[in-house]
Amino acid sequence: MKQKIFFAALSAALLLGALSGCAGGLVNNVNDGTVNTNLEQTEFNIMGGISALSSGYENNEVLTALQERAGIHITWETMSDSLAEQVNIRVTGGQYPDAFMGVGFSNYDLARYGDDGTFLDLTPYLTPDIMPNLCAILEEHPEIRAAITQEDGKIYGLPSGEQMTTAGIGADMDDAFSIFSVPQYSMINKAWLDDLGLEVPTSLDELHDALKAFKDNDMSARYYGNAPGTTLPMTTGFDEWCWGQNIFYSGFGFTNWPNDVINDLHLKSDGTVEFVCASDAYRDCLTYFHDWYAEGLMDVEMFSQSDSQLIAKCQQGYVGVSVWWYIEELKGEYAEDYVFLPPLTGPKGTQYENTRGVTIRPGSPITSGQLNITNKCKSPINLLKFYDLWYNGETVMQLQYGPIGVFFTGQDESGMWLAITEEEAQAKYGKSAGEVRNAYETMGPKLILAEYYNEVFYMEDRAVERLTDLDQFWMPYVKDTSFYPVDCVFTGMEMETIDWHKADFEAAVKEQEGLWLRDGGPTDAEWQAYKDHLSQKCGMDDLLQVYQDAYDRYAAAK
Amino acid sequence: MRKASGMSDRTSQMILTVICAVVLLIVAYPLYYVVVASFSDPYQVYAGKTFLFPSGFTLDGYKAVFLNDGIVSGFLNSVKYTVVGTIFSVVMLYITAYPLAQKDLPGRKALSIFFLFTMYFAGGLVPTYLVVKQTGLVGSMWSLFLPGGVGVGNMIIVRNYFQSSIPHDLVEAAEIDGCSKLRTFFSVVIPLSMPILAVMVVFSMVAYWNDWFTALIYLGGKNIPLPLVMRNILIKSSATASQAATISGGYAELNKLTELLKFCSMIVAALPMLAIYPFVQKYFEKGFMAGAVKG
Repeated sequence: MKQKIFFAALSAALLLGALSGCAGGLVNNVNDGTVNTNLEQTEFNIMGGISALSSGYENNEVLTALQERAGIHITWETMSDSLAEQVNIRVTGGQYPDAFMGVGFSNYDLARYGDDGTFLDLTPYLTPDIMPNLCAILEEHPEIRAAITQEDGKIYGLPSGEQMTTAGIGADMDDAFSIFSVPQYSMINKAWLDDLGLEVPTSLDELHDALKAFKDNDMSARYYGNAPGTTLPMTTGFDEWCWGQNIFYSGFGFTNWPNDVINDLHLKSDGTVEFVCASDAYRDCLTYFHDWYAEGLMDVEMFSQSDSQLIAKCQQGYVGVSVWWYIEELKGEYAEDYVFLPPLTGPKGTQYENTRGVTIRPGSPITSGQLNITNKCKSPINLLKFYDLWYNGETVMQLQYGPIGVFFTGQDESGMWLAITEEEAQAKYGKSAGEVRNAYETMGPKLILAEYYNEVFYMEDRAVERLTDLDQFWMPYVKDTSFYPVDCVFTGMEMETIDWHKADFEAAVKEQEGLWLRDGGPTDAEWQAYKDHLSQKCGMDDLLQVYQDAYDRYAAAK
Repeated sequence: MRKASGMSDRTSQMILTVICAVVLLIVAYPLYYVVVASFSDPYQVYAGKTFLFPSGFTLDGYKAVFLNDGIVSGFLNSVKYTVVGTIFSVVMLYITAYPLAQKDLPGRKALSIFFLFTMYFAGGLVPTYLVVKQTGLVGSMWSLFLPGGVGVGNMIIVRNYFQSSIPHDLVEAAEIDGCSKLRTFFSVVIPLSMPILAVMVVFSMVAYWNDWFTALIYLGGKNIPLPLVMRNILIKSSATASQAATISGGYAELNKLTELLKFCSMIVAALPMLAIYPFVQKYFEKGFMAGAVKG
């Protein structure tokens, strides 16, 4: 009996100890809208992400120079992998640093850590005294401020984003499109078409016939001399970002990009939001493409292959039609034989005959999860003054690519910085320009504005090439340029709703899409059951409401 | 009659040989394929061109692995962790399993349940980390062994072996001859339990050699073992397709090395274990059956 009492007392004591230990971690809740004017701390610990190819932040001359200018010293604790787990462990254990950099917290995380006081509300610090550079940018770009402000008006992190748009190749700033607008460039083997006496298809029917001709004539064997039977008329991934089949759906009035917000969300030009995956066009589309799949025109491995397998097939010259970010990269030595295959119109004799609808994607969002100061930091002002230096074209250029004198070799007559060429990099450092850049690239609150590409430094050649293709070839096919804005701000409740349903919803849609492509489109009963499942089990109506509300607020604020 | 039975013996022999050969092929070919693939152009492998011999022969993968600075220290670390960890674990197994095998141990049932409980319920990652952190083990190699020092599953196997395969009479006889409890343990029990000892050594060895997750959580810098070094090499070479937009070398080329490294690192990490295995294998079969079947 005595023993039992002893153990009970012991476990009670342990439990109390554990509880008080937890409470001890969260004492400095200072999110009350005032500035902490303490200036004593000049040594900071920062934990965060780093590119696996980086040579480290300790010896990074750009970062060192910035620290000297700000009069502080930072001890870095960086990792390129399993960052999220480590950060979770540290925050839960109360053993976190003065700030997190380059972690990429989601808005959901930000709200959570902001509410419990782990992250400081930076709103009172965004003044011209403390952060002159950033304030000037926010003044000029109110949309950036809107994107990083939480629903309750607080800001838990500094903004970051890369606005790589057609403005960098001369398009009008207000009318520019992100490099991500059309991630999937479809391409077709022109040499095979010529050999068979066919034109580049403009409709799905024509493509169907061309694919059939590729298959029947075994073009891989006939034209490239590969083993008989190796021809793959068309191969893609399934709902993949830059190598999915989705671009071909344009004949039915949409392309359901696997979206960052949620799969298949579509903003119509009248400002209403809908899920493509519950529309009749979507149903007709899957029914149509099942025939292609059944005829062996689409690769049976499309559901399972990795991008490596796709590249492998393409570089052997097996493939007639495929999809990628660039032609050259996917096709290797066969690249010259390929041309872009434009978005196609729908099948003849149906209501889609003249339909050609590409849904474009938004650019990368402005986020505030790349630099977050915690309540462990005694002198936030000192740290913020350091980060304010980042909000300058020349500085952010060096953080992104490498220092002036190493990656940037000089300025031309218009004052634009010139990047090191491939030959110079090889001669001077014995590595490629990309490797030089990778060693220096810093992850963090880098805000690369579209105008920097016209005023400070030139965009990389490959990006220019892709944007030119986008502007000249792809955008003319896009009639409706509305897309769901990634900068929409959700309330805490809304984020809960999305977080709750997102995984189920996406999984249900994707699985069913694959099944219908493979086994044949839905009967009326199946279609109804599917829609019921989405709204009853996967929260489709709630999600739609959330996205509509958030968009309406966004549109009203504009 | 006699001749006929000889024939049927030979026939069944032949059939068995054929079956065994087929099974061997099925088991061995994938392993052989990995070896071949580690010398081949990965895009040719994925296009289905590689069968018996490397296609597009290349040593780039092994070059990338062996030119890495961390590989030697990673290997030495792994050897150290495996040796120390195996000795530690086996000692822990013996000193827990032997007492629990004694029928006259007071509180035996409660102790057994205490151990068994941990097989069903664990603290989870974060609480475990906190305990390890507060005991000051983070960054030390003991963080790999101490938290999971006694493998309860293995302990039960060993305990059953002691109960079933070492006759109690023998222990009694030793005691009558004047052995102390300890002397009995060292001079009678341990020599008699060699087969199960070998099994436990192999189990622990393989587990510690392959363990990267524990090391990922608790260790860093120069202390990481071989599998983590391999993993870092692999991650270093890999990029996602969305990064491809800005990588000037091109995704396809970068990705080629990544795919190749997957095969090479498998070979490099598995070779030491493959080399050791034959030496303990003869104990292995005997001991494994002895411990498990008679439970």
